[in-house]
Amino acid sequence: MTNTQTEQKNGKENQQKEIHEDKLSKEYADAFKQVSDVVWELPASFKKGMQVPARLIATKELLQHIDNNVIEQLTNVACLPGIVRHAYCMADAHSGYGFPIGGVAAFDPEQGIISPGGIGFDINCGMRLVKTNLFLKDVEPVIKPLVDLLFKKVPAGVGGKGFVQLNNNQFTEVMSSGADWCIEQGYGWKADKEQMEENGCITSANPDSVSEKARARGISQLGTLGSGNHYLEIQVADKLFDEKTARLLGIQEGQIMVMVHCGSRGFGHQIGSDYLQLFEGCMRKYKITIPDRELACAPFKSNEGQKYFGAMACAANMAFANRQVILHRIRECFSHVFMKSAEELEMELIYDVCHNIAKIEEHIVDGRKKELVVHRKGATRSFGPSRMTGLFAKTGQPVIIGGSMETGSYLLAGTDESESTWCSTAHGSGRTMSRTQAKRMANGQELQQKMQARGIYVRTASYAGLAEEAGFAYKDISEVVHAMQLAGVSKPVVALRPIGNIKG
Amino acid sequence: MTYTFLEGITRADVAFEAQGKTQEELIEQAGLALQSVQVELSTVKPVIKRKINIAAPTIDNLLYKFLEELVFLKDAEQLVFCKIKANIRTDEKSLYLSCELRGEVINSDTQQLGTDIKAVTLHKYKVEKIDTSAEKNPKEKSYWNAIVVLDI
Repeated sequence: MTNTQTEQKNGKENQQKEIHEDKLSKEYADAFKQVSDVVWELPASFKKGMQVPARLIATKELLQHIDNNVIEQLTNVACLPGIVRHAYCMADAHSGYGFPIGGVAAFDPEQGIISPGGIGFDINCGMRLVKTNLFLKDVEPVIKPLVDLLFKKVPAGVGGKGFVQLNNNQFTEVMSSGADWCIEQGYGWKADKEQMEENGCITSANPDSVSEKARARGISQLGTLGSGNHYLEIQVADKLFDEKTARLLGIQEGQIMVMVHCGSRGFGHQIGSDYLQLFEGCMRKYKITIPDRELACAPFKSNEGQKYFGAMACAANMAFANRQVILHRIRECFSHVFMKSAEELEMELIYDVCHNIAKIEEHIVDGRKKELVVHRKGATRSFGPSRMTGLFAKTGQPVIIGGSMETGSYLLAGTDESESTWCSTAHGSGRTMSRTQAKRMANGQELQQKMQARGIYVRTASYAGLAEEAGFAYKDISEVVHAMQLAGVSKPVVALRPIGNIKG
Repeated sequence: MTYTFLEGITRADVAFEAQGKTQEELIEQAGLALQSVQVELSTVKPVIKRKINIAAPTIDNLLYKFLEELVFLKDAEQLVFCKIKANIRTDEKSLYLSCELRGEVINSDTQQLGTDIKAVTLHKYKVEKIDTSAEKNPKEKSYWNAIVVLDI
């Protein structure tokens, strides 16, 4: 018997007694000051080294079940040099490494830092939502062949090679121009560009800052989903919360949508690893001390900081390109199954958002406009109408919140009140349980059958991976969306219910 | 010695503890722990051989670089390994790891695949020599222990 099997066997025997439930400790609960219904603050005096207070968005129910490590990590973020106003954590918070997942922090570009731990290894992990003019009655009869075809055409799981073969020069172009490169090559429509954060291309990319190792890891991965919580999902617009905004975005109740969750794959992961090590070695030079090695950072304006910022943008662009070629594949598959062109099926991109990234943005600080280096790790930009143009000046920026594969997802819209969190909201539902525990409590094959009985057809590259993503391992997404609405930083538009899922 | 997966350290990622009587055994067990997240080891055939050499100033750094190399080989060459044989030579400056890996190319038809690893993190990362000589009837006088969190 292998170690893993022994672990699983022993684990199943001890299942009941080992179930771990998060509960906020009394020390933290007592220290929080309630700022509003859903905003909770720990003062800068709470922990030695904190430069600013830390703020957490949560309903009382969510707050009670916050993992204590989130508070430890959030207050660590508040210790970083040059942090402005507050360290924030969104309602889908769970513990990560360095920053908590759901963490948002802005730094003064002159006095502050940039940290890979505030972005995540999966740089520009993000969400993409595509609409169709199909309804449930059109898709239900063909859901199996449709999901099977998508599973075949969009590689998922460990490793994995994409269908777009790149040489080194082409890969450099992808790093520099992101989704633009794909559209020029025919993997998309010109109109797609307008429906993406940063128009699918971050201009500060510097391919010279990218290691050969990162290139080698990423060059064959364009068009792959990866695994973990990454997925491609066919959904139905189940409930409209804001009919006017939904109508403006071209969404009706019962309409079929496709959602994609993935990022920059091994390319971004290697850039994260490369710079984490570089920053660990250079912090002494800049006299920076940090409470956690995963918060390794460099002054934003330093040579090292700028190199990382340039490399990070390359990974962000690769991620935009990855989601773009996957969109191309989705259009091809729908076109094949429904024997109509993607144009006839009106498969327009609703939006594409990043939720692991650092960007230079202008915000109001002490009554004055100021550029800041905003880190969002497991958090989504939520610009209100006043910061957007065209259609989105009426609706606010679309925000795509990926839920668990069992419970569904949401489309939200950003609000002008989101300035209070550096224009940020949640990114998903947030885990409540470790992967090891979830795997012990669910069997992948059984879960697949149960989901099918409930009308969700799932194909997976790994049954163990499927079990790790069971719905009970996540927070209640509706509660997260509600908390962010009460905080005023985003508003729900549509709830999306899964009917088909591809899991990495 | 062995490896076990840990709970309570991370929600979205995977944490493990590896132990070895020697530094070599620690490297081997930690490597197998990492591989076993990605694939059921018993479904991997040892048909491809890779040799890797890594130098580092400390065992802490050496183990980190070694695990990173395994993640790199999974993406760059699509390789997973089921057998690891490590040898470490030391001088006053560095530790030199010479390692033989045996495994095969990722194949979803023949292997029971698990979850992709994005990166080896430094979160709660710890490598230490545990002295057990004070314990009653210890199996070993000392052993090497590592705690590693993998980003999933």
